[in-house]
Amino acid sequence: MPTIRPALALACLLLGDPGATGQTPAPDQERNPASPTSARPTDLPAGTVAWIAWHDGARVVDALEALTTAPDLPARVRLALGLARAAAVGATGGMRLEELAHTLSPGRAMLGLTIPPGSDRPRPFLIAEQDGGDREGLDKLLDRLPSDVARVHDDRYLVISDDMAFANQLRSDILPTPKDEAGDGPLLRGAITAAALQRTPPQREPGGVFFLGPLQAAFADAAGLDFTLDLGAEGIRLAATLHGTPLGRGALSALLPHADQPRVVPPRPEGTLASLSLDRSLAHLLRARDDLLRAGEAAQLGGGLTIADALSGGSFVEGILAALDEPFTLFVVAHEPQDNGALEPRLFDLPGFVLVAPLRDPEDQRAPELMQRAFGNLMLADGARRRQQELPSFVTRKLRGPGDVEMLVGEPIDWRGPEPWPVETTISPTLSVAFGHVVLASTVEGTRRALQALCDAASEPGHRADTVVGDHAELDPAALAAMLERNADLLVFDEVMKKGLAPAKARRNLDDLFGVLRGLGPLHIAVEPGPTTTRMVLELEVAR
Amino acid sequence: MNRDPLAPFEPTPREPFDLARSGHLFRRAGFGGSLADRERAVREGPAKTLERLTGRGPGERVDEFEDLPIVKDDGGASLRAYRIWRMLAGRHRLQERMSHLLHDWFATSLVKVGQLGAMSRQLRLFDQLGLGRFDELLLALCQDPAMIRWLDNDSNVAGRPNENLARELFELFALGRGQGYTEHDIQEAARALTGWTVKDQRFRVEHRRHDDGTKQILGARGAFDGEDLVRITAERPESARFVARKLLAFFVHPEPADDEIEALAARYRAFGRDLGATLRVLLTSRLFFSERAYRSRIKDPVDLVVGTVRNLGATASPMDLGSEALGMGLGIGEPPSVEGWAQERAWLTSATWLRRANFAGRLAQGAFHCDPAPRAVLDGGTPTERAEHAVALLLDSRIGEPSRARLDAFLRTPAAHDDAALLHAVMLLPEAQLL
Repeated sequence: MPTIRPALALACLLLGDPGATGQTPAPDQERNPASPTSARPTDLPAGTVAWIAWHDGARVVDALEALTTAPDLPARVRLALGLARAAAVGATGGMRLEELAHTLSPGRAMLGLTIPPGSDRPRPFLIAEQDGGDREGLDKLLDRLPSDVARVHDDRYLVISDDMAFANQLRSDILPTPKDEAGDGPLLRGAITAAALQRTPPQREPGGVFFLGPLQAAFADAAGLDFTLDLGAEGIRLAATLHGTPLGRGALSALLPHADQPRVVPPRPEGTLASLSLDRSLAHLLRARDDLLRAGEAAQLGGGLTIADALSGGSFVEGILAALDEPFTLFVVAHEPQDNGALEPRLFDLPGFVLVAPLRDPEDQRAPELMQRAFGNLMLADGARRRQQELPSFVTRKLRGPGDVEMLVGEPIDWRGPEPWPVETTISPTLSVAFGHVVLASTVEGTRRALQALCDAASEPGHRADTVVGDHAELDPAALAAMLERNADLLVFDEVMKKGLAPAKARRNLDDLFGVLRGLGPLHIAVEPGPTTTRMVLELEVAR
Repeated sequence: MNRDPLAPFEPTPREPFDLARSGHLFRRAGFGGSLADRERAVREGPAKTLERLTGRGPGERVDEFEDLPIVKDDGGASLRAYRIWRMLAGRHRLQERMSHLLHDWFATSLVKVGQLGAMSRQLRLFDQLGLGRFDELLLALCQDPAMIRWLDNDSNVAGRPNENLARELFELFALGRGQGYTEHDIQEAARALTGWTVKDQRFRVEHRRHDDGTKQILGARGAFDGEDLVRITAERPESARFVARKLLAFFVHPEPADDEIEALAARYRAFGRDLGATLRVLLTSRLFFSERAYRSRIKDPVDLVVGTVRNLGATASPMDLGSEALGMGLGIGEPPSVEGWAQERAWLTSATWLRRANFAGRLAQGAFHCDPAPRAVLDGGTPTERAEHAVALLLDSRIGEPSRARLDAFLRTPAAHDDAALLHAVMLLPEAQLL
């Protein structure tokens, strides 16, 4: 896939994980979270439900330092980080972070959570190898800990927990694992056990089932989840493998129509700030609502569908949704400020939200007809309501878009108030069916851009469409910052009104946020189901 | 002895300008103030303090959001929050108080006006003209789009006059019910206002819909239009007494005496109907600082929520405070009728009392983004010392014997060691409900 694959491959080269290329790892490469992992100093204590291990505390500190000294970070943020470092120095009696890391965990270390048998309360613990550590420094450090923190330490291990008996037992149970040469491995390694995954409460409301239902089905009998985290001047990469799959899980599996098969995603419109591509069958969720949802919510959804059927003059599920293929891709497209001539400036530069889905049958005439009818009737009903409430209303009209295709647009009436246009007049709901896709957007500008991208792809000889497996999300933080900055006055106003901050302080906070966003490169999140495992990746680059 | 009720207040050892009088001035003319501000006022005296509460330099911006239109379609929440924020954080305390009075006096509701921008602009008009000449304010309101929509003057046309605006102009805005006008005067006044309408949310005179015939209004005769009507009305002696009564009832005592009204009306006329100049006399008078005025009013919900936060020297979420005041019965931008809100005892019902008590409890716990957290503002010391500090912060260091007994009883309970509980107990004393 041209857009996403290079990022993965680059990260793979930088971080040295062959799985990052998207290739299925060989069976002997797959890790079992229950098996000993050489980065950690000991076997897992009984009842451990989650743990993170590292093999060199100083390396963790170095990586954090590298990340937080990125050149584009705002001065105030760097100052805040400096103050935090200074506070840590104060709390440890003058020890610098590097020294602290060396003293506390000069070798391998593990931070974990256990749930003792018969208890429901998670108990945290830290086990750190002390080989070659600064014993005197450690004693001084431990003296500064609150008296209710239980600690056991000798020449080989330091154990810290919230209960002395538990800490003692941990120390006596330590079975050292052989050391590895993990210096070039991931910075942090961790796992969540099956027992912990199965404690997640089941999703029963429509949004939760739609977005998280399949993943939760995979949690239900997964063998566990293990992950690695790497961070450095280039960025952050969190890669996880869930040892379970949502495929073959009954009604919930049917929510993933393409399972582990690649499917084509629509081309990105120009000015895309963020995108979310979901391989999810809304039609299946609505059909199986009585099985998947709580009774009250299923009934409420049924009532809504009756209205949707009336608006479209046919079956909303079977006539419209069933005619759409997955994935459903949502693009958030920046609004480009334009010269409105005599018109007054807009109050808020709201981005366009553009939903693009392929038609199963590009020659289908019936489904587009139902969609247009539903759209027109919805605009009519909403317009009547808005006029009744003397709110700015919309008039439906047909416009021509890129490729001379037709767009059905709910256009806001011209605003003639003394102030700039209110927020609702930055919206122009638009529907278009063209190039084998349905495009539904909150702005006509967003629709134009999505159509232009589809049109360009259709007219490009030998065009190779992007494909992905599972769900993918991308965000361009710097572009998002630029969009937010154009609305800074309103955002400051909102902050002041909601939190009572002084306007100058609210503006400084926002400037800091914009600065951090500008300092970040693209963010990419992927969840890819496989036949036996599910792969999850979060990558965030730091702008250079 | 000077029998003029508006004679200037001169502090004496018997009647000092102490924390109680300073607190009274801050509450009535500025939605309260921090203990540090009130103590400084004691040192500087009432005249200097009033100057601080009043002043805005020439050309100084009203606030950072002056140019930002508030037209967010959120049921008026942003508008309420913005007004509360000005009361909390604004430097022009007296102006905010005056705007609060005028919103009740010229009560106009978003529920009918429907346009947040228009409603917002009417409230800003109060800020701009509230301390200026009354006749100018009256004329601006008769030309205000929100008012025109509210009182249907957009359907007041020659041949089919609509009397709503003319009637309220006499009855509720400028003269008072039955004060020197007749039904015929109302009909003639309505004719003068024909053609005053709204186009594209701006005031416009539609001359072809204006009745330019001769009218007889309040004894005067001529081809009057709206401007003439406002001038004639504002010049009436009944109007001076009406304005004086309004100011006295809001700033001094809910039931002013006749001699007090006459004295203030005379000052008002002498100052050329200048509300700001009139108020400065009133707010530095012996009458204002008299025992009769002190705690003679019941706090409306906005006085309560804004005043409590200001007295604590804190800031809080304007959105949350606006919502709390709404829950207690005062939704800024949404008065219940053209007569405004029922005041004084009407604010205290079993339902609103519960809401007030819960507000106090939650605020004491640090809700509503209150910063600093109220429990952090009490100095250390014994519970008794901290209780005295809380009474100084919130109640001018002055409470009656029954309240003292209640507080003493509370101090004997284990809860007295919890600063939030202590503050809550002080906020529930009857004095905390009085303005």
